[in-house]
Amino acid sequence: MTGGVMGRVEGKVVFVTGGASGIGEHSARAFLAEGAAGVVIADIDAARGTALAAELGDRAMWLRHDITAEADWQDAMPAVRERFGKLDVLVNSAGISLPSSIEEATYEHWRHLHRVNADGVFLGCKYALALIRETSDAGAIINVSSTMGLRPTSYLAAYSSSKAAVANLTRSIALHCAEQGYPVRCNAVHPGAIRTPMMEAYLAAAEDPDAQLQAFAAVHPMQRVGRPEEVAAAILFLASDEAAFITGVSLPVDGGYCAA
Amino acid sequence: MSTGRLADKICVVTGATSGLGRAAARRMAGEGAIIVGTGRNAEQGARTVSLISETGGQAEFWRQDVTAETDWQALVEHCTTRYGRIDVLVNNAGGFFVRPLEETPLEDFQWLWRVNVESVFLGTRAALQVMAAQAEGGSIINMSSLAGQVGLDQASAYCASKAAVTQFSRAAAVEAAALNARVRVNSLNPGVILTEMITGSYGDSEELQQYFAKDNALKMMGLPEHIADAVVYLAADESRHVTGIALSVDGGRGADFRDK
Repeated sequence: MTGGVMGRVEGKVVFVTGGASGIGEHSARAFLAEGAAGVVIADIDAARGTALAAELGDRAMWLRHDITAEADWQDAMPAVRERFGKLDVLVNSAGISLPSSIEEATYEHWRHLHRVNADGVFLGCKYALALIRETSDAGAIINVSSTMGLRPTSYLAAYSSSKAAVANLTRSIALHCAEQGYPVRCNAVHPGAIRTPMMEAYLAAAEDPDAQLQAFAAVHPMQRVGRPEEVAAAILFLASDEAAFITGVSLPVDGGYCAA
Repeated sequence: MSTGRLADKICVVTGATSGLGRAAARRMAGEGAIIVGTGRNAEQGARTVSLISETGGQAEFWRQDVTAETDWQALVEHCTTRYGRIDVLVNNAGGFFVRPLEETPLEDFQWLWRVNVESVFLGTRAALQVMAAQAEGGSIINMSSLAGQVGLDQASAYCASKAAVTQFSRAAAVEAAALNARVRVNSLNPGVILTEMITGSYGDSEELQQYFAKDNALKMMGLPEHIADAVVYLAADESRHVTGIALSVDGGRGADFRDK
């Protein structure tokens, strides 16, 4: 922010799952830079989460939070209300990615991916919506799906399915909120391959990390992997009042992957 | 040096003489852009320029028929001579008519195709030649429509022309990325927006406005400023990893059927 200029999300309170790293971390930073009154960094990684909250200062709140635990969501909302008095924005960024074709995938693998990526988003939307619609004049939910939610590949069967669930759940929530007259919009972003700690772990496990990185880049028309701040910018846009007439959309941030 | 999300960017906006084009030009200028607004109506073009100047922005009007190839050559020559570059092109100019299919003469269909599709082809081609050679690349934003996704009653020619714009933009994005990964092409799908295009065809009665305001999930009347905010996002560097997308700004009108 420059002196005297209102931020793009001035005064909003934001809850970011997976807020300690990657797209979630950069979203938290972007919201605070644009005037958010509070950002909840919700994550299972306490070391990163507490360090980030300490760095970001008074407007940041660390919350140890497992998105797959219903009780965590039930406890989180009163905690947010107590600290900030309201909630305007939910960013469901937490998620996992593991490869599997239909033949490789075990049932347990399938259930694991859907439990984190789909159930976690379902629970977040369900519990946060109750607080947002009660306390916000201009609420927004942004779900982080994936290009795989729109354009699956053979080697990410369970992951692609879990991310498609997020995209369609997003539309259903958008329509519900509108039908009920809630001032809450719901949209999805669809990142392509993004250079996050999740990708770093993927690269570290690869036989040839450089070749793997090149392979990720090569499937995108821009011939590069994205940066988490580029996804955070899309999330910020959708959360801001600039997107007041936008609900139920899928916004790819993917270097052209979904177009080609 | 100006400040803002589009500081000092040279932004060409076609159809800047009214409606979405004027609103986009004003909003972009407010973010520090230098506007070259084009159109056929010099009086209304001057009005847009003065609206921008009054609030401290920079703009000029350039007379152009977007269906004339020579006019595009002249515009590009003007911009490159005066500013040395083109950073953003908003292909906004377009036409519309409502008429039963069996009463639509071929000439009317062809007119709409020239105004809505050939203009976008000519503009994108002209801008691509300039932007591909620029280290910073550029952003091309083509105005498609909700009508490119759904069938609107008695608007078959319009729906066909806008579907063409969406698909042309995707293909152009793939090609542009190969030439210069910093050149982006995206399209926008406005829903029903209160502009002269709508009121000119359907009338501007309060009743009709209320009808249109109810024809989307959010039950809001779409305004030119809603589209202008999305134009700013796609024009700004913050969307540098976004290309080949079709972003709907339609109050959720398309949320339940959108085919990705």
